[in-house]
Amino acid sequence: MQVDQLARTVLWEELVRGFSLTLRYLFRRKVTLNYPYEKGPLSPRFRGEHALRRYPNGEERCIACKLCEAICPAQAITIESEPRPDGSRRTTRYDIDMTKCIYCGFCEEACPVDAIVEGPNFEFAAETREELFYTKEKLLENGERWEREIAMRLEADAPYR
Amino acid sequence: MSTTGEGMAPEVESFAFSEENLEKIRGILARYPEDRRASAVLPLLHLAQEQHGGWLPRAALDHVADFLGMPRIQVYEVATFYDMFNTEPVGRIQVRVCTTTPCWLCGSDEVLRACREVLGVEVGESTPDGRFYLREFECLGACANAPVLWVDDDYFEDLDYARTKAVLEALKRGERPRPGPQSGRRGSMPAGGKTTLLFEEK
Amino acid sequence: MPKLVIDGEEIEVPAGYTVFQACELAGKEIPHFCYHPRLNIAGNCRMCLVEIEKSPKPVASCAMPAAEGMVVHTDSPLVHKARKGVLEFLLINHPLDCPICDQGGECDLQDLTLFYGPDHSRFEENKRAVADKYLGPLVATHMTRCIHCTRCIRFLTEVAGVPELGGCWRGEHLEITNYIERALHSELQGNIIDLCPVGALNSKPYQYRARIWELKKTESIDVMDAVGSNIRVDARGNEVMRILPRLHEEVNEEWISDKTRFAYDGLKYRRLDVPMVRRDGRLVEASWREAFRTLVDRMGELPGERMAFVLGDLVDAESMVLVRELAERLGCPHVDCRQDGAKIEGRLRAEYLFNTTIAGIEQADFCLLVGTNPRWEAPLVNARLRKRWRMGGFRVARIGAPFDLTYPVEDIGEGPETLKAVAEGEHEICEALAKAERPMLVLGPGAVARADGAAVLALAHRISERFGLLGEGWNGYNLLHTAAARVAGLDLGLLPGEGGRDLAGILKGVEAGEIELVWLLGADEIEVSRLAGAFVIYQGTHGDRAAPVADLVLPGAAYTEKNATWVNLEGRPQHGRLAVFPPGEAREDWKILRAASEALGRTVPLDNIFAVRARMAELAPQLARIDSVTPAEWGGFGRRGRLTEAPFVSPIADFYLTNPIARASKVMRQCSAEILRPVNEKATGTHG
Repeated sequence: MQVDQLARTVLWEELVRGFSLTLRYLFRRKVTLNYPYEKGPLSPRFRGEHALRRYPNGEERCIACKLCEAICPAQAITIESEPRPDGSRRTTRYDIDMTKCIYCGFCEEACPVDAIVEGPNFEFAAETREELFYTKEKLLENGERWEREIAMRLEADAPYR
Repeated sequence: MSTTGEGMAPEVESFAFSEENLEKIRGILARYPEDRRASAVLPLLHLAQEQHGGWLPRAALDHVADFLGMPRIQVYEVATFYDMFNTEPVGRIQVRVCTTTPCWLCGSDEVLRACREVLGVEVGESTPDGRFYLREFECLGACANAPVLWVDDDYFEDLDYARTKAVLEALKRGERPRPGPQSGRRGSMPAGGKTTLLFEEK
Repeated sequence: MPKLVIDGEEIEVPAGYTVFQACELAGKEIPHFCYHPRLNIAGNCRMCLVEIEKSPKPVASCAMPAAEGMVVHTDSPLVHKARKGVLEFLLINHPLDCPICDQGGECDLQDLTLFYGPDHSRFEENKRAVADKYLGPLVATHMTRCIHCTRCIRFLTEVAGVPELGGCWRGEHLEITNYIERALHSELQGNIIDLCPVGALNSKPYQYRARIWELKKTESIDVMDAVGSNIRVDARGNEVMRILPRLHEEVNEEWISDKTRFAYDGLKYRRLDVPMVRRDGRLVEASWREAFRTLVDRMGELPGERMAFVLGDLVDAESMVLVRELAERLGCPHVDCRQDGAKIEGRLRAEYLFNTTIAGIEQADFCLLVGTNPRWEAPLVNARLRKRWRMGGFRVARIGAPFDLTYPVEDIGEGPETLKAVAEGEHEICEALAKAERPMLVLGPGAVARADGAAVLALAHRISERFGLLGEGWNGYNLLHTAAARVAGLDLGLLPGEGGRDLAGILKGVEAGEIELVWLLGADEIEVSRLAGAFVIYQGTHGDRAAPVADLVLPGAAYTEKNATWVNLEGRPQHGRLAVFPPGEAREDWKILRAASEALGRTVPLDNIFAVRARMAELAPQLARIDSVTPAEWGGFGRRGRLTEAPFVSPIADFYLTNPIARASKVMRQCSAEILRPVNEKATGTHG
């Protein structure tokens, strides 16, 4: 037993094994990404930053049904609504407190018109809290920016719903 | 015909029964007990429609309601419920095509096509000169002589495309074609000739 | 008393009951849309189908009289299939727009579909769409959602007595409409919103503004008239979103007037939310401390007989207790709670109560209306009178200005001379009055708020005694108030004390320079221009009529913003509850008065609402019996005097704008313009 241990010590067995492991990985395929220059694949169900979508004709989808507000477990959503001059039901205020949001995706599930969605974007870190209090304008702007991807993701996920 | 509302029918300022009609109304009202005057609403509406060129403006409905002392809305209900009351202006000669199943099976589509072609209007429209008004109607109760066309007070029966055309063109010329079956058969006798009672009557 | 078996249980029901009512009595819930206990039976929704043995088909229970020996099943497979089928048919043309429908969350169709309905539709054709109708500024329509239960038609025809809605066209084209696309003319029309089992009729002012699950519901009491309707105030955050009726069989049944229902937006506008002091002729905002300093400056040294208190129409009983206590400590005898100038003496409770009670109207068989227009002064009393008339055997006569009360009324005169003739038994109506078993007389504010009011009261007293209005368990003498505060004020004795002046006297005193300070507690319906000579303290909620002439404004809480007591015209005390908080610096009125008393060095030792209520119970024990009417002892009242010839005129010229809250309400202004003005125009012959 002792001889065995002595031999290992003398022959630097641990060291050799350690270095060989390192050496092996040096020639393996890399598994890390060079973020932010490289990015990994995202599932179509990924729940990232919220966006409010519009219809192709430019009309906002949200009808102020407030189901997302009701379902939100973190109570991060605040909606106020009023009849628009054309008589339709629309929001006058749609705020999401992104610091409260737990990204559960219930809002997206509750929405009857696919207006509020959690998009693929997860890079929206901000320097102040205020920047994370999203307003309707910000959310609609997100929707415009991400619409193509959001539509593709919804389509990809549709068969499983 | 399913949407109401102002703007659909032209505003008619006022309506009042003519002396002649008031005389008739006295006779009509005599049929009902004093506290059941509202029962006279149907005959009165018919009179009003006749007097006002085939349709009932709101002023006429209001007049009838006030005349009978009943809520106006009840008169609106009655006038819109029955197909024979028009609440929008229509042509003077009303051409009604029966399109219920028996007539349809016997070719009311062809009758309707003839009407469209001769009058140049769609169902529910009046000709631009205001003479004819074309509309579809539910069963006119003359299925034995289907298909049927009802013009003003006359039934024209046993029609096909050509016969309808002939009837309407005659009407257009201002003639009064003979009502009844246009195929030449008498009344509702079997179309292919008698099948029973073949012996001569003594 | 037929006996029938419902789901295996035998039950005996009163004769005349329907199968539906029998099932309810047996504790079985039958889903329904068109049936409503207060309306005629229509039987057109078919949702209440039940199985009755020996009947070949399911039977609409609401329209089937319960009969001896019936065996009813409410839970059998056939019934479930029938319900499912009916719902599938109803949903054929019903749009699936629940997310944008205001009824969503409180919709009968939604709920029943969830419980009994099919999970999908087999209907593949196009749904029908119906153009929305214009029914005025209160009721919004979405007629595509209508399931033709006809509750709205029946309500307006039967309860409101304004048959303006009907079903036009037929079959698939049937539409509920008023046909003329004008505003409805009923002052109870808001109730059709509640009656509508789907979202076809919604509240226009509330439209799209909130969802029901966001609302905090507070049970409270209405102050728009003296009926004391039971209401539920629905608030979101600190904003009242809507007001709904609450069931109270003896007061408002389940209806409320449109003013009660829709005037709440007046709580948002023109509010006094900070104390104000007049400096250099202008009212400037101040702190409470400054306000009280000004108060003490002007009031501290003033002898009691040189100041006066006038109380408005919406004041709660608690504040009036404080006013009474404060005035007593200040030695001020000039206190008046009758800002309309009614000549009520207030010594005897029976004089100023609606003694018959509202529910008692249903027992009456003859009614004499004197100087009153109940349709505008107390719409729910009028609805009760109409309900009584519909039962049959009820005759109504009126002395006063003609007005359509929705039931036939015999006009027998317009002024006091007719009343005198009746009192002296010289009028032909006397015969009917004497013959009636339970006659009632309703004296309106138009009869008592006039110079000869006391004499009119004396005449009414004479009629009551002469024509058997007072019987065993029956008191047919009634005074109809229009102000929610009045009965409490009279009960608490807020009337001129020894040597005190009434409102007219106070105004004269101000003009003569004998009264230097007037404290108006929510009193806006007085001739404020005549107060110019005095230092005016206005304590209230709205910058309405009196606040602009005030020298000191103390912002108070409106009726939805405090826990307080109001006493309705029957003398029924009821508790209103705080639904939202008063805006800004505004405070509950009794607290303001309490603080003022301390600042003036004449502290009223009532430190919390329980102490105030305890004192109130000492002053008027009947006010401690919440929600019960304490019958008043009969006695003598009124003062014989000279009668004028002027006809009785109801003080309400505009139903929708009777108090500061309603006047601040945009909705009420719109109603006044759209519903009342065309009527007035028609009356003068300039229209149509």
